[in-house]
Amino acid sequence: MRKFFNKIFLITYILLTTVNSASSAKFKWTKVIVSKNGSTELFYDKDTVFKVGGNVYFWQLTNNLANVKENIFSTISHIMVNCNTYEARNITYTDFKRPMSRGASDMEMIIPESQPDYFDWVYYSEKETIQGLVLKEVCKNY
Amino acid sequence: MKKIFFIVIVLITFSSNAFSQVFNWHKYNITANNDTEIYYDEKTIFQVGSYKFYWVLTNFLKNVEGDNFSSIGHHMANCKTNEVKMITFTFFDGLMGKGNVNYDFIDPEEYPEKFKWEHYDPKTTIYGGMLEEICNFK
Repeated sequence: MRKFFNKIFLITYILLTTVNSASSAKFKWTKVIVSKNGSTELFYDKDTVFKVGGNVYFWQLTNNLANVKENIFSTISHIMVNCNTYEARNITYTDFKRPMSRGASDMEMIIPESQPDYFDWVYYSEKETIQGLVLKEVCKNY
Repeated sequence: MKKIFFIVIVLITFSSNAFSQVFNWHKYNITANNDTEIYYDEKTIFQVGSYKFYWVLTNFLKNVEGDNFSSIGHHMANCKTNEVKMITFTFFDGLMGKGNVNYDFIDPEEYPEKFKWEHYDPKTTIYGGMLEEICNFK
């Protein structure tokens, strides 16, 4: 019996270690919320949330489910947030022609470089905005 | 034995979800004159559209300027051309991103004129060698 559990333990450990390594470059999206009108759903990757200096950084995926414009079905952004004030700024923007960041991408930019006027801190209420709910999740350990 | 097995599984499962993330730095190399060492975190390497994004740590071991002993930055790379743009900079008064933050900035916001693609040769620069390794992650 003891040998059996030793084997199971070893196999489980190897599997978990291998799975972690193999998925090192793949996003693991966690869905946070769908907007009330069902047009937008927001995801973030828990494993990409890092505090560096005074800000917290993370990757976010947005699926556009209805009222899709210019065939942009999803976008990915790297976002910085001040968890004390619930203010955030999108640093990068990449759009995709299919949901879940699949399909072709025809626009990718570093926002402070391409659209500096849009690189402002914006406050998101956790009670009134779906982005605020993402920030609440991201900031819960900080 | 059963108990230990159960506890280990629970710990492994919860350790990745319950706490805030910490970087897992992999030391790439140190300069020939031993003044700078660079690290990257392979779990932060993501291909998004045409570019790879990743976090980098630099330790300044000699000739330290302004009490900046280390820095952490988020970088983007064009792996087809071996070119890099360094997006964020945060400087610390301790090694390994520890101690107090001296200052931080978003490079394209603070220094838009300097935010340009920089080529790093994998054979003649340490960063270029690291970039080659990073670009090999699929």
